[in-house]
Amino acid sequence: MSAQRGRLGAYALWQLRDYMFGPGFGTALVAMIVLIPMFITKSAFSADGTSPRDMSRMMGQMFDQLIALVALTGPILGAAGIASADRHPGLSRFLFAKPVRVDAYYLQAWVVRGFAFFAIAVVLGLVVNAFMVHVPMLELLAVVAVAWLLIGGLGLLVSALVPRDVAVLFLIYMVPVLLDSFVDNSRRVWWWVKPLLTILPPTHKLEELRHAMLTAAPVVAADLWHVMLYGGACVVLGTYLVRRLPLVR
Amino acid sequence: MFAATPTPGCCAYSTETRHLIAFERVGKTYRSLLGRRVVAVEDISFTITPGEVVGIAGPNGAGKSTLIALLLGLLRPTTGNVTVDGTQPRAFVERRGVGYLPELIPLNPLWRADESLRRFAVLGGVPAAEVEKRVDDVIARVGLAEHRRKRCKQLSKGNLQKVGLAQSLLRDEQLFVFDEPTHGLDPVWTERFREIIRELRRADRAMLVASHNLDELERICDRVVIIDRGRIQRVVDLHTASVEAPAVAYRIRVASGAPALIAAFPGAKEATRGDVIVPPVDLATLNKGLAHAIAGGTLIAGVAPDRSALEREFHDAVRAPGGAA
Repeated sequence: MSAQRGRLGAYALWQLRDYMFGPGFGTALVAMIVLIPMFITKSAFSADGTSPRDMSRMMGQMFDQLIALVALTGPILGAAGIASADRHPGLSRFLFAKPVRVDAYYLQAWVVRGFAFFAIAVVLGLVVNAFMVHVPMLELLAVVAVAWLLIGGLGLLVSALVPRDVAVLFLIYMVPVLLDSFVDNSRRVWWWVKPLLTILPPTHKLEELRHAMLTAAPVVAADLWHVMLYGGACVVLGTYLVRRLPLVR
Repeated sequence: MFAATPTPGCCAYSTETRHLIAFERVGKTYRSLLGRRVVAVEDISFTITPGEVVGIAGPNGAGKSTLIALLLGLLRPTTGNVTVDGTQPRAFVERRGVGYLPELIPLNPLWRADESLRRFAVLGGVPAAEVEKRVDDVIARVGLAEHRRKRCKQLSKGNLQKVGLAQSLLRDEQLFVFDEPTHGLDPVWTERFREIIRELRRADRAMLVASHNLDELERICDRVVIIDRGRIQRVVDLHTASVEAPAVAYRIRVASGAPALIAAFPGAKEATRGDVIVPPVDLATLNKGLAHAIAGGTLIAGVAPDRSALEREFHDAVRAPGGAA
């Protein structure tokens, strides 16, 4: 009689493959689409004799926008659907008749996707470094790690809870960003906005953190801790809930 | 003939036999966000011992799939308790695994048939060195060799069902659960499935088969649990013979001499050419009437109950007040 435990570690290769042919491909595509205008701009600047300093400044700004987009779409594409995409059509019935722990399965999937996202960011950074402008690789990875922890962690949590998690995750990302811009731009702020922002996911802090990290400006440690602890808590809660909540709908 | 236990909602729960599966007064109620309650199953109690093949039959929406989801720990009961080998279902599955064929096969349409099986073999803990051989074995066993490189979206319903069946056979399990196993299979492979069940039978192994197909359940199961409206209506033991069966209708095929047969059984009538339906009679009356008919020149080609015993039990069970049939 079989008492073999599942080889979940070996299954990581299949999880990686699923990511690369799905959300990873989408993330790489987004990065490439933004790289193309950077190439074109670089060529145009080179042709019209723009000074290297100006060119470097312009390319740095473009890269900042590129990484902002990748650090948003990568975790949203990568983490959304991580559990719900198995549960909704019923694939989870196949997966979890095998001797594996549900929480370990999804935590591993989340980690695998995170590393694959890092790999895409590394390739992106190397390409930009080689052909366009110098970017600090460690800082770039730090930006990607923080984004993955918060948005990816939220993705795991939301995916454990609701079926249409891409839209919900995007909404959860946008609400604090919009509220924060409202606080910045408005003289009169409703009294409840600021307390609400301390409860909501600190997605509005990601932009400032990214900017500080990439420009070697001082990072506000409290903001960094807030983002990391919030993301970490989402991962823990999401991992708990995928095990606790029904595996079929 | 069969012995039925018409004990709605509760079956004898013996603690003397070692049970592999035990449902004890299990209920499952779904609640919507608006607070609406839907009772899927209620007060379900039955046990399955190692060596048994048990069927679950019931009309659509009776609660069969919910029972299976509870058994695999995919859902938690609202009331009562489900145990598998003395532990909670999820703990059992995570420790030992279950050979499970779901009713639907929602595999990724881009996965190839053999790739799907390789994945499930790895996830199921098949050692790396044995994965290819094990996959080849199950592919041969379910007759998928010529389709193994096809993507799931290219497979017919029957072949997709075979992939589902193959993945359930990858490991040497103690418990198999098949939900509508012959759905989409042609008659040849339906028969092959029955052979597979016979091959899988073992003293230390239990199998649960949920199906609409009563004939199939009658051929492969030891007992059949009939559920309707979320409750057990009766449990039919397919091994317990009884010569005191209730009067049943028979379908008698005659090669010639139908009028003599009709004359021997008041109320008998020819349903189709060569097929005579005899109204409900007991065995003694049936045999006496047949003897008269044969003496009168009838040449009989076959005698069978108009409905199988399980069919009768099923229809009686779901015809109860408020029943679905």
